[in-house]
Amino acid sequence: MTLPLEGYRVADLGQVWAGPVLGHYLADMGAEVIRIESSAGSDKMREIAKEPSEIRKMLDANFVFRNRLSVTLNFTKARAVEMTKEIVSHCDIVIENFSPRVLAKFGLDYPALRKARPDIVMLSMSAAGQSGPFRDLMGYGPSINSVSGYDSHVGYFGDNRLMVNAWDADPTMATMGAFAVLSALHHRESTGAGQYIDLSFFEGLTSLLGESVMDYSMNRRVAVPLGNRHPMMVPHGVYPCKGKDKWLAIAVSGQNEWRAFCKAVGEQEWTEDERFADVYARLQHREELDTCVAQWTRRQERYEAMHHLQSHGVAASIVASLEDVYLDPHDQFRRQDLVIEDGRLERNDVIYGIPWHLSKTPGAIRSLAHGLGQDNKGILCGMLGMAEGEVERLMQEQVVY
Amino acid sequence: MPSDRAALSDIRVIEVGDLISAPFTAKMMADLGADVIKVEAPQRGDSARRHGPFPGDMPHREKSGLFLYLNSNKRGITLNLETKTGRDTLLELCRQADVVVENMQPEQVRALGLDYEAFARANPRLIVTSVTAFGRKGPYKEYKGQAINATALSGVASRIGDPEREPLTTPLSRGDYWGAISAAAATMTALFARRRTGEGQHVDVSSAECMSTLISSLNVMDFVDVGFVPSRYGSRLKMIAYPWTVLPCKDGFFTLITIQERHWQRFVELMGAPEWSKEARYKDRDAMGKLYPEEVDERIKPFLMSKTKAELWALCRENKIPFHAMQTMADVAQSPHLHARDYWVDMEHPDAGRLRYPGAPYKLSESPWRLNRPAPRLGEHNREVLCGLLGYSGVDLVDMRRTGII
Repeated sequence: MTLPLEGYRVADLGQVWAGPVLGHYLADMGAEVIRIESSAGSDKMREIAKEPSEIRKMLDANFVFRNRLSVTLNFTKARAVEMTKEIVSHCDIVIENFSPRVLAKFGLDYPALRKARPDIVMLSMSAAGQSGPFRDLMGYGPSINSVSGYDSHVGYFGDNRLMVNAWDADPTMATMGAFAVLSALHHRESTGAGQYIDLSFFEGLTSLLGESVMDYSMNRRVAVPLGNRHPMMVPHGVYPCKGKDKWLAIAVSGQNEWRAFCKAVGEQEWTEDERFADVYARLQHREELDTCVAQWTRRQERYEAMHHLQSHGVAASIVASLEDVYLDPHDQFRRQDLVIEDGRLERNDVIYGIPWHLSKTPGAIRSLAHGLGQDNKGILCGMLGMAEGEVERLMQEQVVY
Repeated sequence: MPSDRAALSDIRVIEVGDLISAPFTAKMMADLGADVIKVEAPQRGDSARRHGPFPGDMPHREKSGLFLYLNSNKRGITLNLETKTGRDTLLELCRQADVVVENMQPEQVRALGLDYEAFARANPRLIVTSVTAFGRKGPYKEYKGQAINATALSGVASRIGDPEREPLTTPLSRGDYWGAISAAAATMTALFARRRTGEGQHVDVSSAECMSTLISSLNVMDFVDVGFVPSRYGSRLKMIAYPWTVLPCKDGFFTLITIQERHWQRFVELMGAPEWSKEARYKDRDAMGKLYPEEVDERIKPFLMSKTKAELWALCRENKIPFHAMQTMADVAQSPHLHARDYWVDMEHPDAGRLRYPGAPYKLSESPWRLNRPAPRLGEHNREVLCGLLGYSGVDLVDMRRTGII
């Protein structure tokens, strides 16, 4: 079966989360991705992947190191740096997310790698980019959402606290990085020219705040948290259902959907209330409307209510927990066509599938994560033509380490 | 010097998009040089035109901030897809395109007959990218979904908000952006597959699934770390070592997140190593984070409240502590760092005037991200596209206007 990125080779110097996620996107789609890592600088994600037993299997399967080869090279040794360049000379793409200047310190920055491979496409991801007064900004992905302006939106309307939004900066930027790298590779196919991509989390995340940026730009208005409110849709929110901590998200857009919604909830008395007669009136009386909607949802079982509202053409969905995501029939169905080639892996082990569904060339989970350095001999002898004895000596000297 | 050739200048994209998801996918491609032709309904146009914000809070269909941002660099035409001629014209256009990006609601796809097969019949080399809340296959494929629904079904909303209150969706319809970005990357892989196979294909992206997939690794990790799937985070994470918290300071909020002991130690010293910090109770970061983070928050609040976020941020940066100011949109707009990196782009629009737009999310050295033109007025490029690309005459255009096709 054809894989979309077959024939391309990637050196993956990714750390922690954002880098490795980008690496697995490319690997799932068929690129040969070589992780260059080291026991000298242990990675939190790798630590976790060492968990034994069933959980290990789940993590290997679900986690971000699948489908990749692993070579260990200790950049503090000059010989390891030379070998890294040699590997890069066989690659099309390099991805990395060290702090700026770390790779330059080792002599592995873009100018150096470009000498090894003139048409290389290299992507660096960092908190604030490779230049500018804050380029040394340290921080985990989630805290860069504070810097970008996004987290100043996360909270309830009218509340004086902010909530944490702990997760999405790293994978969001990894996905943007994948698009940028593939676009640059596309450019290389047309022109023969490689290039360097400087992706700043700060800038990438701010670019997802268009409406708030524009409101400041137009009106000098500073955005505040709106909770579950939407500027055009109403009702628009998360409402309680029968049972402990069970919720339904409902979004009603326009007057036709409102009529469908009124019919679905059984033409309750409040649906005739003139405060809710048109969209403008409903926006003015959001809170009262939310109270009425909640009165109805509280008596409903959440799945039944979702199906019932949807059968009337109203956008509704349960608020899923991790367990719900695992068990939900739609989520399960979407995972059914996942191509799994590693015999150690059962379909039901996989929550972390391939969410891009290409109808003809879907990508595959070809193998569970390789252990640290599992491919040292395969790559160093096979690709670089080194003698096995030399590799063993370099392992003893902690160059290959 | 970068070349003048943009990365995707040889790609033509037809966008049948509304609001955020498909329009942002197409924008990402347009910003790297793809020729994007956006198709809108006559009269009504994209609903982002009604979304705002508007300059001076004066609503105008050519001045909506969300629309202007999401649709710059595109050409725009109007086509009434409810008519056969409108649909045929769209498919004609698709014969000269590489990619279609669409986010029609399921009932629209059914009513118009514009499913993947219809596009593929018109042009077998076409990549058809659908970016929707739940995706184009599976038990909920006919279900309607907005960003809040995708975020809810993905498992993301269950984590955000106060454990005592309702879960929160991610602000600014982030769920739609998630689908959009994933769809842009997936579309690129399909273009690479086409080099090999010569064939187009359907790229079916569900924003709920993209989010649930990526957050599952975090959820599984939490499960391994603490053995249960926790409820909403509130203003702090209560399952790892202290601190992972957002706290008020003199003039706003400050974010304190680290997993490393040395960062916390430096922060304690920055506070002047107060007496309480020497007690055993405040030396065990694991217990502090998992058992009584609220109590520790209270201990450090007086220090935070005595300083502005800018003062705190400067001190933290000097002392190599990765804690950050919670920047508001005003702070971001005035950030010296973004100015130094030439982030902002000022661009003139014939109706909305000169405005400042978010700039490049990534800097490509050879084929740079660029804003070349403002968002199209409704139907602005009807003549250019329908006459120039499809060979209609001016008289045809008049008839199409009279009969409500364009």
